[in-house]
Amino acid sequence: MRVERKEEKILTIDGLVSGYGKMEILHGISLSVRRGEIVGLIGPNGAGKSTVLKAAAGLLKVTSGKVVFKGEDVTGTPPYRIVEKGMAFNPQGRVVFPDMTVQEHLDMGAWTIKDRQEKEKSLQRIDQLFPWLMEKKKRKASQMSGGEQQMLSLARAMMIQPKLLLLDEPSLGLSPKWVKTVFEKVVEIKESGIPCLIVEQKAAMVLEYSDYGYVLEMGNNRFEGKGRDLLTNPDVRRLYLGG
Amino acid sequence: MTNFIEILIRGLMLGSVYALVGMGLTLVWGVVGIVNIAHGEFVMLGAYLAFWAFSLIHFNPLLSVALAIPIFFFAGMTIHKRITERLTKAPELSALILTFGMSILIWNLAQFFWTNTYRSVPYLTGSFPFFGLVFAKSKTVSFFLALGITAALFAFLKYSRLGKGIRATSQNSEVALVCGINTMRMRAVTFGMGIALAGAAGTIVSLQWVIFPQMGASYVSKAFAIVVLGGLGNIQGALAGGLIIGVLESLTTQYWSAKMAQIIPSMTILLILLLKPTGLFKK
Repeated sequence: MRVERKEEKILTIDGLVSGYGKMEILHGISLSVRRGEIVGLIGPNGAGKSTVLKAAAGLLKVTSGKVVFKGEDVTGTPPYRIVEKGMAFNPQGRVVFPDMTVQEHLDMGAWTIKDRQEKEKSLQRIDQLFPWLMEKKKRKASQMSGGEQQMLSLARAMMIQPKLLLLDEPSLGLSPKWVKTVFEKVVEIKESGIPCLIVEQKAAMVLEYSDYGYVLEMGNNRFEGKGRDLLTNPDVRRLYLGG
Repeated sequence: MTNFIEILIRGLMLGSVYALVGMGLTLVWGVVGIVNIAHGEFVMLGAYLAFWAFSLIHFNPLLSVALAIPIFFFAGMTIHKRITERLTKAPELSALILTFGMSILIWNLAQFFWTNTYRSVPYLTGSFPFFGLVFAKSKTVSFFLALGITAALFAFLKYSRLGKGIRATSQNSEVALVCGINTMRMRAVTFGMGIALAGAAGTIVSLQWVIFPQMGASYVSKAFAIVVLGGLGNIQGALAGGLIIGVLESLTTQYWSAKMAQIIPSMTILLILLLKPTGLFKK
């Protein structure tokens, strides 16, 4: 079922062992994200999907294994340095600063950008991707719907003009209509040249959009393959997609 | 009626200084997640700073605020990095016990070095008439100093890059981290600001009241009442809470007794926790 993937590797995770404190969640995960790909990461609850993203983004301690980003070993680098290198992370659940405005979210997204012109460029990009957002610059996040918040979070993550986008359950708590909108936006982002690694509970949904997919189970790799192949794989279907 | 207005305004003047102390406590509590029982001791240290600067080198007590803010800010940052930083991930009780110990240590050291003698800064004594009302000069000046610091704090948090980073850290520290904000540094800066607010308040109260090593206790109890009134971590709430406590104290002193005014902080905490535990103000 392994397929040859020829594009350049943007992110390589190799034998990753990590977890919370003394509790080990990942027992040696390996995966890669290549140029031009959406990679879906699925698996049952507690498989360690989110943990992979957090460890890659520097939010969790890596016990062993390696995280290589754009050819550079970034294992154990603090999150604020990883962001500077161009890895954007859209976390799960509470994705906004409730009391801050849209404009302030974009400012925070651009925290690591020192150059005024670069920031201006990012804002123009956001304006193309999320035109409606720029009309609500003064709106506070807490006054927005869950879907709008998710989009705001995406926009915030895009402010660094990332080389890779990590998304942790972007569909969480959203209506089907918003889920579709969010995924279409992610495809648009990918097509603009930014590969995405997406963790999702809605496995069938994410595989639909994914170029490649990984299935985790109990902190280990279980299956991998092209998104469509995984969707039709009888084992994956039976175990993770509900028949 | 004029008497009542005068008392009301005196309450607001008093409350503006309490608000400084309360805002410092709530800021640290909300952003850093540490309940600093030793907060009042920094008010005391601020008051002594003004006193010694005045009595040793005749330093203008009004200017000692400007002296106190940077000194206490850097002292606070250092204390956080050396001592309290490890508490941010520990259970809340650890912070309570550690800062309680710090409080006892600080006022005992103050007692040891500076004795229990009551001190005061005899500067700006007397009062002045204002449209038929009479106000103490020192309290009026204190009021405007406190308001100025409050306005500067609000503007800093709202508009400055660092201020936005601090707000982001307090509202969602995980997202702040992935924005590239060094949240650990934000917490240290916030701790420094909290201590600076306490120290600044200390220099201001030195103009109006006696200075002694245990004076911090009454300020910390008021600050707790203010935090409970305003809602945990709510700076605007703390400003309003401070003014309310000040006015209540002023009214009680006038129409009941100064002794009864002492129970206002604890009564406030009790009533608010019973009736509206999230504080009076929506965040």
